[in-house]
Amino acid sequence: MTDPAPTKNTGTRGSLGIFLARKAAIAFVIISAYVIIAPVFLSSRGSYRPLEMVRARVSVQVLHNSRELPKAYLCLVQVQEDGTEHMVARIPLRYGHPLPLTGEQAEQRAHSFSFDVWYSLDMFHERGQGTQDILDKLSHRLDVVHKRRAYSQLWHPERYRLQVTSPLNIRSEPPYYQVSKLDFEGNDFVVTVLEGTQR
Amino acid sequence: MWHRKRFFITKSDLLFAVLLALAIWLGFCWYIGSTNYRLTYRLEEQILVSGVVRTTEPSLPEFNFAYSSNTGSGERGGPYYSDRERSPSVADYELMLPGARVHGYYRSGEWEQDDRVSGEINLSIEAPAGWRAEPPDHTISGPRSDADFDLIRETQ
Repeated sequence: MTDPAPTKNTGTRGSLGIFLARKAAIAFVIISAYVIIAPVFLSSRGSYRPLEMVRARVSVQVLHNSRELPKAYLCLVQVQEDGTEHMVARIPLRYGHPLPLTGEQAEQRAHSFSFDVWYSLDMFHERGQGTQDILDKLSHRLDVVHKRRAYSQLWHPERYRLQVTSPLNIRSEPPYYQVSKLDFEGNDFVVTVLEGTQR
Repeated sequence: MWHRKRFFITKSDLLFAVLLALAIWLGFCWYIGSTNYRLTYRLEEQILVSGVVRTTEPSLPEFNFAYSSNTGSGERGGPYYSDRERSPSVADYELMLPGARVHGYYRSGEWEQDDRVSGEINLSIEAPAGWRAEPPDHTISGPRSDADFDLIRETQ
């Protein structure tokens, strides 16, 4: 029998398990510190202001010959890159004012509806206040990347359309307006409700 | 006896702590930055309201309209026009007031929608000092052409 070779005392360092346990403890401390200061970041809120904006007045004239106003909606439609359409929002045509009709249209009724449309790319502007201001400035270091991303991913008014839809059989002239081509005024839909047929 | 040869945090622990803190910080920055931009839409119905504003005095004072509803409030200075040939004490007016509204925004891959359907709009006149409107307000729940006001000079 030989004497066992003297082993070097490495304390709490040395084994993999202890190494990982130490790192886990450190991670716990760091994460807790962030959880405590997170409200400071998240409370530094301001408001969104438009960077790019499309603003338009849209009128819809509905020609019909029923006693009641036909059910129809003004819709904002997103056209995906593969050509499929996705309806983003719709607002019912509720309160039209009657329009006088002349001559051969006398059998019909006409109502005019007006809408204001906003479509914008907004950027967040924070209220600058002391330490929050400094934190925000640091967080805006990456802003160049985000801004480029926002323009390339979000700002595509040419992929959005305004159109009139209805459960009834209608003919809309024009069929739609592209959001990028909207003027402030003069965007008029003429919608004719076709005879009796339900779709 | 309790003693140690070295400081209880090692160099590798310190490096790990700094890298982790930096990574979380960058993640935070990225998250906050990525919510800095959003796409917003708003569709708002406009309701046509018209009527007559008159007074028994020789001429109408300057006035504004004020409206409020559960989608917001605001002020309108017109368009209204006085029919001078008839009398400077009578003005016809025509206003487009915001009714129902749909609005939402697109931020992180989803359209988030915030529907607010308007009920009634309250229309009143902000009369100058010394005048009051009769009736004080009109409740608008659809297009109407009879939202008339009388402006009365108050006597001390």
